[in-house]
Amino acid sequence: MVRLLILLFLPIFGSLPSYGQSCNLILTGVVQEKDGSPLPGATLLIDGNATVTTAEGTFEFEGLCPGEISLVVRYIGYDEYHERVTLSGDKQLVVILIPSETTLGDVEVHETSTRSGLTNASYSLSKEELDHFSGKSLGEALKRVPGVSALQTGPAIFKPVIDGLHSQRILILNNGIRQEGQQWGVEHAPEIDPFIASEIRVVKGAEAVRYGSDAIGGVVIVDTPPMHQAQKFGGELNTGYFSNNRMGVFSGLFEGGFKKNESLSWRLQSSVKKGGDYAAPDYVLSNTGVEELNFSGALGWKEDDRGAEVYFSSFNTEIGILRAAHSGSLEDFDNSIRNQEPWYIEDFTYRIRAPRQKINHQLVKVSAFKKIPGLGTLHILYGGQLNQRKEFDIRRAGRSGKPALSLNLFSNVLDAFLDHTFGKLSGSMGINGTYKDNSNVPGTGIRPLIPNYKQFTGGLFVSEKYRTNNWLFEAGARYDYQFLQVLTFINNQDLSKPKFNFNYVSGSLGASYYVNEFSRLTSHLGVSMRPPHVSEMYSEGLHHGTAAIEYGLMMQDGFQTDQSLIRNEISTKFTNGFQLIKKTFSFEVSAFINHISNYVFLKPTGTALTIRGYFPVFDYSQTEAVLAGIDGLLHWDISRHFEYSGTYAYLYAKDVGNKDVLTFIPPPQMEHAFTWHLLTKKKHDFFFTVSIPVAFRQSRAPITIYPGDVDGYEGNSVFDFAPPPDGYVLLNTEVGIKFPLKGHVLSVALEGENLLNTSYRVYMNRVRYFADEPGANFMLRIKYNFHSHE
Amino acid sequence: MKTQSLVPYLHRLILFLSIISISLLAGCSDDPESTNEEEVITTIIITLTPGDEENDVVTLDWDDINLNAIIDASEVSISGPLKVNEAYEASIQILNKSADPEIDISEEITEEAEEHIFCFTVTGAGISISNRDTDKHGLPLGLTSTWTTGASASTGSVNIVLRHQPGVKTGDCPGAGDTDADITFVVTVEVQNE
Repeated sequence: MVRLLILLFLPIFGSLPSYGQSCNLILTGVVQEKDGSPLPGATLLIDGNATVTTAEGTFEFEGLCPGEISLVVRYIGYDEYHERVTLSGDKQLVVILIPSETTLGDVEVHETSTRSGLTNASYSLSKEELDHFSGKSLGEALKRVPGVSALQTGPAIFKPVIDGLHSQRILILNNGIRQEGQQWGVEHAPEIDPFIASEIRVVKGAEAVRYGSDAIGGVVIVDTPPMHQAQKFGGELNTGYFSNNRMGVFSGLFEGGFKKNESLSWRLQSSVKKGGDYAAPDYVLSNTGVEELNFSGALGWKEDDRGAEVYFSSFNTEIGILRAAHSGSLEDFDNSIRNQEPWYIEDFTYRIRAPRQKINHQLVKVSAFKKIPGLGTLHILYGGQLNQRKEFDIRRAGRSGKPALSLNLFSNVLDAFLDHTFGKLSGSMGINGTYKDNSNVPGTGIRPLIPNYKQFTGGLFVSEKYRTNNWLFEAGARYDYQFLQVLTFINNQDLSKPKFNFNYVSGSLGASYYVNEFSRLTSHLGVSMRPPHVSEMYSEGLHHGTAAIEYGLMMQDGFQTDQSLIRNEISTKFTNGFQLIKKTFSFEVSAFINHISNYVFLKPTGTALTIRGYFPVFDYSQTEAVLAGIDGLLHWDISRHFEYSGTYAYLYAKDVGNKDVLTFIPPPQMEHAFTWHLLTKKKHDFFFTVSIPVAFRQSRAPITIYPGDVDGYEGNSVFDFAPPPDGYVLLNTEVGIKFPLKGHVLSVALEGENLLNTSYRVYMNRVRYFADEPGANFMLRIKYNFHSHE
Repeated sequence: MKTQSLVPYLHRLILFLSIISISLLAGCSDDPESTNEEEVITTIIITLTPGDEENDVVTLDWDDINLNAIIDASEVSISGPLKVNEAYEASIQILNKSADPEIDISEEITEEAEEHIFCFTVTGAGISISNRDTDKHGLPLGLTSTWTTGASASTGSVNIVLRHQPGVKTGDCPGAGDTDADITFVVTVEVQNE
């Protein structure tokens, strides 16, 4: 579900033609195959404006300016089509697409852009939209996507939540490689630099079987731009300044080719970020600073029928956790909640102290493809990742400099798959294998939250699409096997090495019907399974991040739990959608119901008096859950200069087994954005946007048991330590200007977030017990694009 | 073209990388060692030494024998009742017996006196606690203190809370910061020679 949409303004550059003063030319045409059969649902782009072909394969662009334009046509399974068209009057075109595949990176981009080519919710954030989040984290940018919200820990840690599910229930694909980090923790954000992305999309349908069946919530795909073949040097520079936490961000991307070998191209990218403490309207949010240094590089080699790429990336961050959010005991916790103001407030500083997180994530990817005549394109890719997470806590005797948690996760992924197109049937089939080794680095002096483990996973999948004039059918199936060996200590003394074998399958069926040239109905049914994560099976003891004592599924009965009692989570999800795209009006609505059996959750079972006072005890349990939701998106060009965009989301969740609610379910949300374009030309733009995010109070929140009352609580209903915060209405504005500079494009945007400096709290922020959200934040962003291949 | 021969090499490179990584992983399958827990408090001993030598030394003791951090009733022991009209010198010893070697946490607290404070709350019993020792800034610490009993017999409880207040200590109780230990003992004050 969605929910917190910080949608600053909807695709001003996207989905609908823009208007200019003297720009009234019309470009029409048809997109077809070599044999003349039309291609409905192909995406066309003209200088950033996008449209989709109708069921007859036709398209129309209005309001174009005289001069040269660049047209790009994309369709899954076909080569991308580029043409420069000179317009002096209205014009008609016939575009013929050639079936084939290019590099994996390109395929990803094709799929992304052809939203209409998929039967189910696949929403993408374009480069232009991502620019509005430059300097922010991946999870924060993703909140823009309908159906996606974020689980926050303070102002800098955002975990994506898709249709109410998060952590190990969603999967993140970073440049084609499954991101293997410590995603099980609610305060663990994805270890990805959003500056590397050319496009980010969320896949919830049939396509998801391709990436792993355990992603029962959905898949987030972060695409890097395809290696560009031009020999000319080009790139992009971004800088941003944020007033609230005095944060500065800088990023640069450079790419080019080699004169000696035109098949080779290279890219280097880096970003750096440093921010200090955020501030709520009434106080400083002490110890919420952030530092980040990321870099990546790629070398590509591509010929007509084969290619290869080597890619590496390094993500390094250090994030402070609000000092007042650290409680040694429930009594401290209770005082903090009742105070309504953090107990620790200091002057602004850039210094990050304990509690803090330090994360380093390194990725190396090697990929290659080869076209095999009559069969398709074979892709092979290897990814090696090292994820290091260190968490520092407030400790005695100078131990605050020593990590309280130090985990190294080393993973290797090997994928091979074959993309193919036979007439109207296209699809992909493949195998993949993953080996993971998770180890606690000794010397923390604290018993680890999760044990060491080794895990091997192997999977097979097939996913096919069949297209007719008005219909698109999709089907996919997947089988996975997982071997898991856990190395845990019984009472921190005797080593035990239990082994697990899990078999699980997933499948999906989808159909899309083009009602007429403007509208489309989609329907999708998917079944997927997920074995419980090690953290859900072997957590043991006091978890300071959640102020609770937790026992995993395998720890219920001392250490004697029978393995056969551990069951796979099984999700059955039915999604239906309707999409209407007209010239000045577009509307999308999608509704789903997801039934999950053996849903793993934390069930309160009592309290324990520890040396730090009373703490609630939770046992990981499995139950039957239902989630249902509806998301909407509306875009309306009211006049030539005014447009309205709105997004709406509602989610319902229930623990059917216990007749209870679920925790961390986003409340209903919506956002309205009004944009006024003062001037829109090919390389010029000047706009003013006002957006109003609205969130309601979560009326289906768990019951409230204040920490101080935990001792007397004897029920088994899930509870929250504080009541859900009230709803809120915020005001955000943005003024943007885009103009040519020495043949390139310079964009400058000045944005104000929470302009009225409203004090509010967000239900999905775990720090809401202690402090308000940040107050007004003014952001200045400058982007200079010096790509010369366009 | 020269580059055309790259593809088989790449495939070999991938194979090579996977073999390397798998053998690397197989090689480092050493068993982990259990964690030497440094931070945990397993034992609290309060020794109350009377001014009058005829009275007994009283000890209040919690020892986390099963090392589960939970205060089980069987782990708490009190050597005997306090006597009326007596001034006891109290000293607190805190240990971590789960570490090897055992860690004397009271020593760490002495070293970081300006970051710690003991807070005492007496409920129902006729005991007043005063004269806490101080840190270098003259603020109370409480590793040692004086427990003065009243003139009549009584029963109640003494709650002892160790607060960790790096950078925020003002001498107030509970003040800002975190609780490192929180324990309550039921105590009885008896009339002499009874």
